[in-house]
Amino acid sequence: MNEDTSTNFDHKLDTSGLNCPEPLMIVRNKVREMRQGERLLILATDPSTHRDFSNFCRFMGHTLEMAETGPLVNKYIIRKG
Amino acid sequence: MPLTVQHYFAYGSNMNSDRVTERCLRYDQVASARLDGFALRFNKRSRKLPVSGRANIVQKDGATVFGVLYRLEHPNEIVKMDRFEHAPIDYRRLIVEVEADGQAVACWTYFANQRVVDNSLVPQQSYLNHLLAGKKYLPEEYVDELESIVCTNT
Repeated sequence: MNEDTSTNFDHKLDTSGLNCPEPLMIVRNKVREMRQGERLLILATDPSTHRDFSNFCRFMGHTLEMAETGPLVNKYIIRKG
Repeated sequence: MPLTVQHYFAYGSNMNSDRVTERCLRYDQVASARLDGFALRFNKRSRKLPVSGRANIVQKDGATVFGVLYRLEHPNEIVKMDRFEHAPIDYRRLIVEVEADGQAVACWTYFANQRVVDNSLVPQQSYLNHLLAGKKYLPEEYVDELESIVCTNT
């Protein structure tokens, strides 16, 4: 059985209820404080966060390791590059 | 009041369309544009590094600012940029008329507020590189001018 990747993280942010660009602003600030290789678990309800976090990771050289869409909340894990 | 203007004119680091995409702005067209009667300056004090300057534009007869014109997917998209530009604290967002493909287009752009303007500032090279990332939308002579700007290496 695969390890649950959503339990493997160093930091956690809950952006539920916030709409773009707020989740991205918060994630950008958090990632800036993190060390290379650390993982950030993000909870978000705005459906546009998938696209936003993908673009953010591509531009900034981070890795979007997990993007899981749920009925109520989406989960993401970003590893700082 | 609903917004109707659906274009954004970028003359600074947002000429780097990858950066604008990363900032989650939704746009469906990108074009070259010119704004006559204004000149580019780097006199807006950076928040991250207050000794360095960010782009700003000032009125100047006979001058022209070249830039990148984004057509937004929806007029409300521009509100997202306010967060990144620290508007209305650092910059204020105003409507100007630029020329793109021989047509006059009303669009949003940002002007630095006087309280964050310092004419002794110079840009960082890393910041100027974002402007140069938009070089395919700019006239060659304008790119030459940008490349000759004295920068700090910080």
